[in-house]
This record gives sequence, C-alpha cells and structure tokens, in this order.
Amino acid sequence: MRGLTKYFSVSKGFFKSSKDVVHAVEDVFFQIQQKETFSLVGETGSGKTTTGKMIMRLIQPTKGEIWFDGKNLLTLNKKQLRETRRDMQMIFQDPFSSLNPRMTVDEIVGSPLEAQNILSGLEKRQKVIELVETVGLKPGIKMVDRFPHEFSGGQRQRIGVARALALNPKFIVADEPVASLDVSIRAQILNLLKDLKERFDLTYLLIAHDLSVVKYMSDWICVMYLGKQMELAHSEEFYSSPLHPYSKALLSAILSPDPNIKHERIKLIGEMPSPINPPGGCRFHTRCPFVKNKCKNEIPLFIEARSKHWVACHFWDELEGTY
Amino acid sequence: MEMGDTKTILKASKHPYTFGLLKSLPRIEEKIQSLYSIPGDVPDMLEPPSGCPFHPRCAYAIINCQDKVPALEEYEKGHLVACVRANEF
Repeated sequence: MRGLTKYFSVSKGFFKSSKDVVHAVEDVFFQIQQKETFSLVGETGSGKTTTGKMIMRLIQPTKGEIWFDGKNLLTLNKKQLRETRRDMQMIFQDPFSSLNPRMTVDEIVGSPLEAQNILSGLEKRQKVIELVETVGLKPGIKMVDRFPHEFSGGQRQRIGVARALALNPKFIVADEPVASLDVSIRAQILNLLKDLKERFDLTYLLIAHDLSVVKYMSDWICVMYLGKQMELAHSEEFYSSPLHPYSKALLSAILSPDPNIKHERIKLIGEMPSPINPPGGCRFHTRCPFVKNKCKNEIPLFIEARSKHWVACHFWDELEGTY
Repeated sequence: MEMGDTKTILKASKHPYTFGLLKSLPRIEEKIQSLYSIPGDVPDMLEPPSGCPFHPRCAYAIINCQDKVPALEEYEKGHLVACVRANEF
C-alpha cells in the first residue's frame, strides 16, 4: 500500500446573499502522514470544521484538491466515492445530537455495515457486539438493544466511536470529540482514541480548540484563523518555539490548574472579524499586538520559515525571542 | 466530597475523587504517554451505591467504604474532606 497522503489546497466560498461570499476557508494546504495525528486548532469560526467536512466530502469545496491514498477525492464518481468512504469516518462533537434517539445501539453501530452491504442479520449483530466491546462498553445482548438516552455522555461518545470503526477505516476525522464531556470522562475517551490508533493503525485529523488536549494527542499542529493557515509545525516544535503571534497568544491563554504557575499573557483585543468581509493584508492584523503598516496592505505568504515549520507572518524572524 | 480554599484543593487535595479529577487533565507543561482517568461512569442515581458514593470507582476503596457514608470532616482548619483514608494521602 502506498503512503496515506493528502494534498489539500482549497478556496471556498458560500453564497450568502446575491453577492456576499463567506471566506470560510481559503487556500489551505497540508499533508497527513499515515498513522499520525494531525490537529487543526483555532478559535470558533476559524474554518477548522469546514476543512474537516470538505475532506470528508460532506460539503463541496469551491476549489482545490483532496488526495487520499493516491486518489483525488474530487474527481471520483459516485461509486468510487462510496468505496473510498469506507476508509474515511467521522466522530462528532456532541454525542447527544449525533446519535439518532429512535435507533438502538445495534441499529446505530450497524448502519454503516448495512449501508455498504457488508453484513446483515445475525452476522451484523455479532459484529456490533464485538465493536461495542472494542470501545470499552460492557458487552451483552441486551445492551445493544438499548437506546442512546439510556447511556451517559461518555458511553454515548463510545457508541459514536464504535460506529466510526464499523467499516475498519484507515482515516478518522474527530471533530471536537471531547469538548462536551466531563473531565474524568474526557481522559477516558482520549486514551481510547490513542489506543485504537495503535491497535488499528489509524490516522486522525483532530479538530480541537483545547491546546492541552491537542498536545496530548498530536504529531502535527496547524493553527487556523479566519479560514487561513497561520502556522504549521510538528507538535514538539510548535509547543517549544511557536513563531506566529496568534499561536503565541493562544498558547499564553491556556490556564493551568496549578496556582503557583504565573505566566505572561498576550491579550488579544476584540473579536474575530466577519469572514464575509475579511481584513485586507494579514487577516490577523486587526488583533495583532505587533501590527505594522506592511501587515495592513500585504498578505503574508505561508512560508517554510524553519525546516518543516511553516508560518504566515511578515515579521516572524524579527519577533522571535522578543516576547 | 471535599471543600476548602482554592489553593489547598488544587495543591493538597485529600480526596481521591478530587485528585483523580486533577490528574485526568492534560497539562500543557508536560508530555505524557497515557493520561490518568477515573474508571467507570457516574453512577445511576436511581440505584446509588451503598456507603461512600465514590467507592465503586475509587482506587483506594477498602471494605469499610461500601458500608458507611463518610462524614464531611474537618481535616485542617477550613479544609473539609469526606473520606475515611484522608490522613493517608
């Protein structure tokens, strides 16, 4: 098998009214290596989820290419896309709304198997019981005939994970998989995702906003702001020497439960501007504490500033070490 | 389960539930291979566990824990803990 690689370059616009275009995601480019976890981070509205959904082909990109396992997903016909979909699955943020309340666990977890005509009847049921055990739920014939409301949030998320695993995928997009869960349950689900990755050689695209969670899970990190990539680096490199002022601000905003740790905070002023009419020049310039004239007029290129470390900032080298 | 001023609870917690929660937070300061997690789920309140409500999930539970509900007792001034083994932590 060839290395699982995705090349991604997208320019996207949703028509809102006659002329307004939401610049949800623009010219995003990255590669995900097989068996690695790649994380997209950024504030609400930065385009993380839109990017994830485009990769899954749940929404149609305006421009660009998405390569998966040597195939361009945007040129596949329906039948080919259906086959490729077996290898790609998604885990959603909210286990309360992503599971149909009128379906039993057997129906929820078994539905991908039926939709792809892989298993049905008793065989399907056997597979569902096996999957439910894999994700750490207490097995039992009775359990799979229960409805989502009979489970706690953590258990529901495990059901969502079981559904994603049903077709033995290679690649999983996990969109904020633990954002709506309790602290103790959150740790269980994160550990489960890590274990499953090892066990089934999975590749993850993790969409998250909590940088502590991201650090625990990821090999690569990509920071997005208003639909643009700001920084992309290997996890260790990113946490030890972030280059973009936005990344530094996000990192400095992490609170530690240890009251003795005092840290300098870079405060960002204001809120994210509207993506319908994004700021010219660098999209971050309206909130950047180090803004200069050039930032207002010229869009910074996304350059490889250091080996395998990309950044979109005119002054990354000048700012290095100054704060 | 436990009550006290912020610093005491975060730095010198005496209840396995409290320090279990604190340990299960991923921290930005360190890179760890596996995250601690409190086993099991929140119990069903239609059939709450006997004795200490946390005992089915507690790594430090002893026989006594399933018989008697521990009282919220003052461990130090202003620091209340409901655990029979609080002195050992």
